[in-house]
Amino acid sequence: MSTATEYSLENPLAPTPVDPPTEGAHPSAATYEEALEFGREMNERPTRGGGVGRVRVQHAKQRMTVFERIRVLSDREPNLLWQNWGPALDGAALVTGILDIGGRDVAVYGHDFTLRAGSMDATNGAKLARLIYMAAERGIPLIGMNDSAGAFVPAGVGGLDGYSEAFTALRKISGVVPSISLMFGYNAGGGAYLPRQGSFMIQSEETFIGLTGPGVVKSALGEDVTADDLGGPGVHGANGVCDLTTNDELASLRTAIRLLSYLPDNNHSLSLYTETSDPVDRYTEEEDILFRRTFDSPAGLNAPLEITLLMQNICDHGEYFELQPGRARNMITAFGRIGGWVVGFVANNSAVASGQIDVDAARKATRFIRFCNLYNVPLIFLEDTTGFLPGTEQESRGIILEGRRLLDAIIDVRVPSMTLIIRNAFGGAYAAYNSHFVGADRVFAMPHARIAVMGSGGGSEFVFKQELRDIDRAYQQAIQDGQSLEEAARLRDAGVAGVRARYEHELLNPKEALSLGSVSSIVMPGTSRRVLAKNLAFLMRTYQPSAMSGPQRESE
Amino acid sequence: MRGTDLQSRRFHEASSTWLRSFALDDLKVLVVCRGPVRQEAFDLFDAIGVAEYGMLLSEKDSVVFPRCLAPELRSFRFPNNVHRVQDYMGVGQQEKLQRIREIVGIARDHGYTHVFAGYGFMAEDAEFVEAIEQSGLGFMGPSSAVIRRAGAKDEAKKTARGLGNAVIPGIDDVSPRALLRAAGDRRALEALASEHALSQFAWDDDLSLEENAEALLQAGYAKTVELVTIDQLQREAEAICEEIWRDYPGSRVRFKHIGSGGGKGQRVIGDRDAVAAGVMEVLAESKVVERGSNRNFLIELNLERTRHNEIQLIGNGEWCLSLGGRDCSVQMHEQKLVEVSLTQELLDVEIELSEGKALEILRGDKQTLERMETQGERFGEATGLDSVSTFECIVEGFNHFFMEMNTRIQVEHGVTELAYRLRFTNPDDPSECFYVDELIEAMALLARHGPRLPKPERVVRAVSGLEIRINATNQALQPHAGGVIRGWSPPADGEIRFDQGIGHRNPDTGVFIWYNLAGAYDSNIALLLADGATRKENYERMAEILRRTELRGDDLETNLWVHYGLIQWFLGKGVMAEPTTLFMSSYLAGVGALQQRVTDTDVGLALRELLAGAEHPDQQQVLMAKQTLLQRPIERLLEHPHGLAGFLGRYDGELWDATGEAVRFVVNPVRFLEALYHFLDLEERDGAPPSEQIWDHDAGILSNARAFYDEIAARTGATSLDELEKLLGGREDSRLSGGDSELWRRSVAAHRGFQTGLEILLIIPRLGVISDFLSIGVNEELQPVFPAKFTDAANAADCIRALSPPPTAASDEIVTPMGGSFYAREAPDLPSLIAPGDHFEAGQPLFIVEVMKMFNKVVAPFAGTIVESLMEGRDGSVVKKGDVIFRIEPDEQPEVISEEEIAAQRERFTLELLAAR
Repeated sequence: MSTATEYSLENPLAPTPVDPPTEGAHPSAATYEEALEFGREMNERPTRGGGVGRVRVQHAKQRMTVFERIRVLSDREPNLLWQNWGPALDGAALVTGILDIGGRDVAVYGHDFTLRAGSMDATNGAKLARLIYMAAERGIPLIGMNDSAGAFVPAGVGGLDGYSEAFTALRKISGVVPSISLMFGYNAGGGAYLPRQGSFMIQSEETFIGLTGPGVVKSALGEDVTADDLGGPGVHGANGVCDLTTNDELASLRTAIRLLSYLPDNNHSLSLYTETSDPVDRYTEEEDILFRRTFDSPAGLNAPLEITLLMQNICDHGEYFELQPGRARNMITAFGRIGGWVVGFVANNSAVASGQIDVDAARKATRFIRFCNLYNVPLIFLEDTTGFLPGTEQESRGIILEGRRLLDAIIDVRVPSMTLIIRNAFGGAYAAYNSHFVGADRVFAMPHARIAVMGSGGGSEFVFKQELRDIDRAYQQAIQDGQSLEEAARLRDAGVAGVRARYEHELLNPKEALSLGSVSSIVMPGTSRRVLAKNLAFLMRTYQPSAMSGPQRESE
Repeated sequence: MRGTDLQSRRFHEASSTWLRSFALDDLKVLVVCRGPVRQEAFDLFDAIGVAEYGMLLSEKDSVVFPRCLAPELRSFRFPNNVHRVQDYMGVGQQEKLQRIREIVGIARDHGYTHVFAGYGFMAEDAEFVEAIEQSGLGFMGPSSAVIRRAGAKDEAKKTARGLGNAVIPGIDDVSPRALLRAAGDRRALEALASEHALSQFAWDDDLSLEENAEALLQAGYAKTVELVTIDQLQREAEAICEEIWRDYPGSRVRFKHIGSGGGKGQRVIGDRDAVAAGVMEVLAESKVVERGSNRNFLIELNLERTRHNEIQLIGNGEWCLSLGGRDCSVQMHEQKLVEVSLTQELLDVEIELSEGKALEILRGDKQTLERMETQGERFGEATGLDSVSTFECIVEGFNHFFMEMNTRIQVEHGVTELAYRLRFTNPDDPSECFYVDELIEAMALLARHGPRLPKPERVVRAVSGLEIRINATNQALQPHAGGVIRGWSPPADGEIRFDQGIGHRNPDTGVFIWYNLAGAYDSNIALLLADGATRKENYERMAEILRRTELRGDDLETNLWVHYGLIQWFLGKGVMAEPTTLFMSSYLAGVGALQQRVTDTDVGLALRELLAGAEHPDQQQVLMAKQTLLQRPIERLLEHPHGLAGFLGRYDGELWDATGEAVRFVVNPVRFLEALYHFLDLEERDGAPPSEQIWDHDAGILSNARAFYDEIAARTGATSLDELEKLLGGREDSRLSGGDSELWRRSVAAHRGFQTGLEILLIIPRLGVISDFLSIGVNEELQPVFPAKFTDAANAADCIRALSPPPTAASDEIVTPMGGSFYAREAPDLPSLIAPGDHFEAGQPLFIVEVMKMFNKVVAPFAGTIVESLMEGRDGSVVKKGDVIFRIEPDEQPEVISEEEIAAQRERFTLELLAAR
């Protein structure tokens, strides 16, 4: 605090603390006292960070210090590790430790921005790597609180080496223990890559993530852009860099705790099973109402359906936790619980872009499926899609690559997985989207499901080629016979519509798939929860969680 | 659930035979409404041991919006008693009848004994209640006969007039008048009857022409035959309004559909051009646009400077008892915000505490209250009230006018429950008695054992009771739909919270369930209640509850800060103030005026300016050390205009004096700063997230300062800034230093250090002065008084706009300022309000957004021409705030203010604010 003399913020009238008696003490006691003093100083020094001035600067930006963030994550005393690591014995601008979060051990690291702006060098790179490896060794999840200006420039190559060591550690434990990266402050370069190596990333308002900041962008590219427009949560919530965005640091920390409740500790255990008071065998009349409302409307079976409305009626107490809600909502990825078991939902959402699978949707789903697969989280696919989205834009962005990735991720699934076909399951999407023959443990279909090679337009043209030709011939003939163009066209259109209706009626249904064993059974609306819960319980009873093994495939 | 000190509340477990005879354990109640009363009823039923209960679940509460599953389901004890319905009521007569059949069917099929409708629309629908009665079920609420006699607004006024009650001048038979204008005699009426095959109608010579017309209309409603068109009603209304305006020039009139309630289905109209639209809006909101619906409405003089008081009544058909009053004058957009108990015991206590003019006023109020209670009881007896109802009055000075009877339990019934409990005594054995603390319990008793219940006595529980309504609205109190609640602190000590079960955590995981305020129904989220031994103590408790409440979410806007500001404002200006129903719009204008100046205030800049002016390097250093200590709470206060308003109202005259030329501190500014931290709930608190409390280094400075000045006060008695300046600016005072001149020097330095920079706090009251907000006060007659600019409608609207800045829109488009259901037209059979190619003036209605059942007309912010409608043919679809509705061609390109100009204006104003001494 201020040592100024003319102006002071000390209370001179405070009772002065009584000094411990020194007179008459044994000479060795003084040495002993010194040692104790030294010990106290060592324990305290890291908690002071860069001193009250730097802390004030941090606070002036509405940001908490790393120790304050830790207090939000857990009210238990943290078990801090290697806290004097570094030449200045101050912990080297990085705090590492183990926290008790709701009774679970969680490895935590956080940059101390008040010390050298939380920058990275060889020392704290090594320290971070050690924590990360320890998390993997002990099989506990990792939470990273990133608030770092990047590499410590005076450290030269050492700073870069520090990053490299941390990169390597985090990659090596990827797939071993899950991790959550919280993005605070201003994170560029290595500070952006490192956290994204983890499982989930949460960014709050007033923060930045990017390869480099607006200054460099301006001088290198001449682009004039604010930090928020370049790498704020609005940008990264929409591009998939961040899985979740929040209003402030507090919301990010609380969201991390919520997310953690769905994650297992490591790749050889299950997420926490929570006995539920929500009856698993309840008849869910809402489901029937939802389908009736949607499919009994003028748009009929072409009406869009917000699939989370179904999820909230299937899950225990209606709770689900959506990831990447800011992008590609034609594909919903979410955690939920059914009968107490944590599940991962991969759901086509026809309320957005007809639920077609495009590049972004495929990427979103692929990443989520791979996560669940690695960490023994059973998967539930809710299928309602007319297929992968074609067209020049998608082809040029490589839909074949991304769609293939999704397909391969599904084929690689080794955890219990079930598919419930809500409505549309056409062509390649049907085949790829967790059908029985790519490995689903169960495939169920609603009675109104439409499983076929093609939708009614293309499908009818193919199957009823002759009938359509006849209609066209009759149309030409009618014109020649002097019928009015209008009347002839009306007759032709009615004919085509009839053929389509016939196709829809005869071939857009689950009959064939049932007969081939591709669909296990019909699920009546209102019983999805019951059927899924019963099968999930069986699959989980007979499932041994374990680390993934087997050959590595050529591409992700 | 509220605590209770009663004997077991389960009568069937009582040892006394008499008590056991009132058992309620054979009740199986179907609850057919939603809102906070639903969970409240379930909790009560559990407490009193009702056998079973069930609920209706609408599609909007289950399958229309994500994260919007009725929260009551989380802990619902009877999962098999959840009955799905499309909606809780119907749109139009046909749907309503269908819904009634459906509900009666559900109740009978599942063996319910009683139906409870809370304060839903259905609760005072005579047709609904009659259908229940005829099917052999019990209705927990006033019987259909009472509703017809007392509830229908037209009938009730006749009854009240008959009893000699004062009523408001006006007309209660618009429909019959319109009918008679088209068919003016017996022949014409009979011709109409035969034309529409209304065989129930037969001319009755004993009745007047008007009464026969009414009978024909009733026959028409029964067969859903339209006898009077909306157009005819509009013409008739215009004629009636002309008459009223002839007798009361310059006044406004109020349209009120006979079935209206909760502010819906009412409009206040000031000129002829607005009459037709007003009629349409009233009918649309009351959902009687459908052909054959009963569209009768009242037209009455709108009394402008009145208070809204109401008397809670309870009766069993034989006896009727008043349970005191409630003052509900603090309301906006016809929605009540704050409701406070008004009882004789309260007035006695407050009279004891008053003097001068206030004393006279309160004595007069007590007489008015007594008259209202007596008349209410008489009205209840005359109409055979056999459950609970509210006798609603408006009060101007010491005069009251009967307005209407609400034949149902009301949202604010909890206020009365805080004030009184009921004691029922065994007439055969006066030593035996039992207490009833909740009106819903009384309703159950009346429904099951009504005629046998002896007339109870009312027993005072708390002198004062208070309720506030937490709504999903923005700072201008306009509905805001679509926010998601992500967390809500548990109820504080003394807080009673009815939150529909939103606060019920996931029973499996204990985690708060995110809840979407989708806006399918009204904007009410929760009710908060508290009591006190005086009204002041009551307000203090509520202020403390609100101060400690943490309600967080995503895109969440609520009126929590509005309430906190209001309660604090009243605490500062006088809790016995008597606001009229216009108070809130003027107050909002004042807060808006504050906001207009806050926008131009830059606290960081002001601090930098102080730093630049620091004379001594030590002073600079100290100022830098105090940056967050000062900047953070001031900025946080300015972020919340209603918080700022509350702070100004609460501490005006106590922390500063703004009556002179320059605003000055009246206490040590350190106390001001402490009060600010306290007000914002930013004090040090164990377990609270560090970001939600004072930063540790700032807490250190503040506690040093506090200890320093406490010690000075102890040694010298100096506390005020003047005293301190005199003491520490003068020669060494040995009372302080004890002759230690080094200590004296350090004390002087500490005083300088602690005081440095605190003058920045004065920008808070200066904002109040410059905006004129601090000119709002309460005079000695207890009337809130406003500068004219806050009562002038046009200027007030301008100020209020500052509280809800419109969404950013390009100048070639019209966006919706709120989310909800879009409608291009006022009713399905009407043309759209505007079409491509049409020119519009500023202020002209362009489209309608239904938010939480309110039909909001969105008006053009400027003049232009419609180029394209992006919502063509999409009536009823959901729009989000900021969605583009029309592409347009503006008449004038709006002037764009550059960022530099805005920054320059902020700098100019901030420096002015800082310099004003």
